[in-house]
Formats: sequence, C-alpha cells, structure tokens
Amino acid sequence: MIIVDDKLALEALGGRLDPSTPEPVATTWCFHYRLMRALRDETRWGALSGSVTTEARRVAADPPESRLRVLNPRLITDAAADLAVQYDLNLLAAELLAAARRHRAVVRLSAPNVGRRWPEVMAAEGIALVVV
Amino acid sequence: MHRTNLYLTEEQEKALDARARSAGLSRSALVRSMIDRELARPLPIEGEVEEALRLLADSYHEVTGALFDDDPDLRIDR
Repeated sequence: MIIVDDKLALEALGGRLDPSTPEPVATTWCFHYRLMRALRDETRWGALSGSVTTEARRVAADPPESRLRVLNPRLITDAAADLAVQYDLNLLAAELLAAARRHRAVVRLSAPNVGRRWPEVMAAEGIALVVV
Repeated sequence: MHRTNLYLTEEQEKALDARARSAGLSRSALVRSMIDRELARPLPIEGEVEEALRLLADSYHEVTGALFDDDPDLRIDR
C-alpha cells in the first residue's frame, strides 16, 4: 500500500499517480478531511469552481477504491495516541504514522507536506518515505 | 422479485457455488448480494471530471496556502 497526502490524493483521483502500480493507493482520514475542507472553500478556487468541479468534489468525497482508499481511523486510534505521546506529534502526523505502520505502507508526500521532524520519526519507525 | 435467466461459464458456476457454500447462502442470494455490492460502487470517473481533478491538484498547494497553519491538529509541523 502507498499512503499519500491530500495533494497526491487528488493526483491519484485524477489518474496520475502510478496507474501501473499494483499497490493500492490510500490516504488517512485527516488528509482526506484536509482535502474536503480545502475543496469546500469555493472562494479560493476562482475559475476552477463550477459544475465540473462540484462533480470532482463529489468524487473526492466518495472516491472509487480503484483510485483511492480512505483508511479507517478507528483501527489505529490507540497506536496513533501512543505515537503522539512518544514523538510529540499532532493528530495529522500521528494518524499517518500509525496507518503506515499498521498497513506496512510506503508514505508518499508532496514536498510542502513533509513535517520538519517527520523523516526522522518515520526512519525511527522503519517507515519508507518518498517525497515528490 | 423477478425471475431472470443468465448464462454462466462452468468455471463461474463452480466458483459461485463454492462461495455460496462457504457463506451459507443459496446461489441466488449470493448473486443478489454481489449485484448489490457492485451497484453500490461509485461510477467510473469521467474524462472532464478527471481533468478537473488534475487541475485542482496542480494548484492545490498554491490555493490552500496556509489554510491549516492555525489548526494544531491538521497543520504540517514546519
């Protein structure tokens, strides 16, 4: 499995992210929430708002699993809380790490979405990180 | 319910019956549940919507900017 951030989730939905890979692409609940929150704010999108974008938002809200899975946070609540305490992480980072650990996934992030301490913490947890 | 005839290959029939046995269902009940699951899946993404998703992705960081910087749960720790 490959776990992606909000920006790369949009790339995956648009069919751009490694369509040939046999690995399923997934995102966490927090990154999915960030994506939906950002898309909801129509004033930000200017010319990109409109009926097609409304349909794109609907697809992002309920993505086809063949393009993007949204991981169930309930399965990792306890692990995320442990990681948050151990490394002093916020909810976004703790959920990401716990999900990657549970699913033995590779984490793939866009460069602006890499937290300052995340590479170090992921390395300590044996989680592979790819920055694009 | 309406009666429907459909043609299955021998392999499909064997696989279907094996699955029905393990699930404790009749072949018909299993086929109905499979159809329900398939129909519940979202439709494939159409070309212009796919293109809109790509455009949104292209400007995502520029547009969202510091949207989450004041949210302690969702911000990127910079």
